[in-house]
Amino acid sequence: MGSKFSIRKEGRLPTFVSRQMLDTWKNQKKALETDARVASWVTAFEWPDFFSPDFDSPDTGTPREEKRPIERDAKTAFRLDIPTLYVKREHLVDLMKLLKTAPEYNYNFLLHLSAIDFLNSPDANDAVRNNGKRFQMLYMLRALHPDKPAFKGLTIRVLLPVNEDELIPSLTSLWVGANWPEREVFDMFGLKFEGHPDLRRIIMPENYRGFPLRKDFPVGGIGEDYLIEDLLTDRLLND
Amino acid sequence: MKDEHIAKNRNIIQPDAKSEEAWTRVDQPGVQVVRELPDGRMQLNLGPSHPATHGILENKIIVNGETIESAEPNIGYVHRTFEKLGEHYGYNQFLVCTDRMNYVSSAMNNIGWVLAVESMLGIEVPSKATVVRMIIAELSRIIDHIVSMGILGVDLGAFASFLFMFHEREEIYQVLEKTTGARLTTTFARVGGLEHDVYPEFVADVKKIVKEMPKILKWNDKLLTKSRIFYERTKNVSKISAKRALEYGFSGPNLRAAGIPHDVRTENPYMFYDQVDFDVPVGENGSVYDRFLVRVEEMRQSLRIIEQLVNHIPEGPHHAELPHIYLPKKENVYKSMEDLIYHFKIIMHGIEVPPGEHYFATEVANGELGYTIISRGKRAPWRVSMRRPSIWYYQAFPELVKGDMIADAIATMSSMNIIAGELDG
Repeated sequence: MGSKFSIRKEGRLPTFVSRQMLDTWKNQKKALETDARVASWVTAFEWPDFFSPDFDSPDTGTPREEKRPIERDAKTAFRLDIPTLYVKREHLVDLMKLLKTAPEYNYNFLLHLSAIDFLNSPDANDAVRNNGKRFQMLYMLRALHPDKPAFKGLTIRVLLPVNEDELIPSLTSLWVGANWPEREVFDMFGLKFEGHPDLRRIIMPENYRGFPLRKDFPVGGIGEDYLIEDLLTDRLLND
Repeated sequence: MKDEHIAKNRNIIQPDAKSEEAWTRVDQPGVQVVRELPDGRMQLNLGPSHPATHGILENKIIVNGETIESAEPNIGYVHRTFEKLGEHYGYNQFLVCTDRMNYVSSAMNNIGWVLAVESMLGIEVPSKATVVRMIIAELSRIIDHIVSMGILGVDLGAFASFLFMFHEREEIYQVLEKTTGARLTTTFARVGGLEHDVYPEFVADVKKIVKEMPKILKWNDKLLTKSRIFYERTKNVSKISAKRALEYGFSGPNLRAAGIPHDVRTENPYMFYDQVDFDVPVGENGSVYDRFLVRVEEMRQSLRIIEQLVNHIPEGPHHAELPHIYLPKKENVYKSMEDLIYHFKIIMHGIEVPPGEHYFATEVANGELGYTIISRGKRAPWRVSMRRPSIWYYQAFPELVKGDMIADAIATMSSMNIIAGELDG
């Protein structure tokens, strides 16, 4: 049953993490934790468990099938794949600017922008991690430099705990592409952005009531007949 | 009365310079309106249901003569709230939602999702499942590019290439149909392996495609790539610089056409992409022609990948031996107690994924598709957030077409490969 191909694995690292990525990440970890500015901007760091020195066993000689147990009972262990920073709201743009431009980080590509609602989360730890706030903005950055192999495939996550009534600084000044994703977050979660050029609903109709991706919004919707009524009223008034 | 009604609903409406409000009112979505503005410019609605918009996309374009002054895309017509459904569906149930995102190459979305879940569970599938997944993914990439390129040709008035390539696309669809049982929404991958084993003639059929396809690509070269008309109409149209493309969050062929050799398959290799040889084609100025060329070359590279894989499909099972994750064979459920129990557990309770927060990206036909899964250890994720490539690059459309002609806007729209189902989520 010998196969020509086998999954590339370095120690027990996840498949998409190479040892080189881990080394660069660890250097960045050192730089981030010692930077005084970052210390005043960031409330917490979370590092994946493969950052700890005892995780990384050098037993590359053993066949893969034997050394990889099925993690059937790992229900309690919290697993994270990407280095994470919890940032203060007023310093979001500062941190993003540093991560984007500083040569040791080089995260020049806004990979993902979304939000998470932690209302009634089953994990009590969520409220602690999220400073007791309900929502969390999720930003993912990638170092996209084909000419710099040391930064190959690096990704980092920035989380921003917010409440419904707080204005979130818009990232459109740094990445013009943040425009539509921020509108989508506004549309789906009702979170408002400060400094956004055109904050309107993007996917749902303008007269839609409620924010569908909030946890207290029913999955079946709240009954959308009013949209038709609105349309009819509109027509009647205009005709 | 009747005349009045007709006058109101005619496609061409007379200028109504009285108030700003008056003309926003007529501008209901779904009503195709060509409107003359007071200053002599014209407002033109491309879409939502228009022969030039492949998918339900709406574009309000203001033209001065034939030159586009501004464009405003209006999206959301195919929205189905998959992210909300993902919070209620089990991990295998959500597969059907991923199928319906990029419906032109749905198998790749499935594969991205199951890879993400497998990465969270920390399980590995047998090599056979991975090799078959890769072959299916590359075949899907080819059919996606055929649609994108063929339609670009059709929009510019060149039907022949579309016709020849759709013949080949049909051959690929037949392989997919024989393998998965479906043509469009394949749902073939499963967490822990594949839905079922490949059929006996799979290798022969795939080899036939690998043999036939280059011939069609040569015809395509003669009909489109080297066609003077096609070249003149696409070269230097809707250019974008590499820097600007990065700021917009472009990915996939659109980013590569702008000159950045970024491909998730080489940057963060998943499956066996680090063990097959292929090149990442790069364009120069991100124009329509460059995007087209990148796609043509990617099809050749996909064939190259398939060629390396198809002779080395290993023997063995097509799924991991994980009874608590992979559904047992139906005939065994009636005979064996364990299989009955696992069948019941998986169907009734689903797979339980340990708590954690993950991101897993795959290179699909139109860019980087990433799944962020926030799990809290239940049968459904707490939150599924998808990085849908279309929404990032479609927002550049107004900038790309500004100053171009209307016909260029149509070429731009086709060449960006915007899939409405994926765009709206």
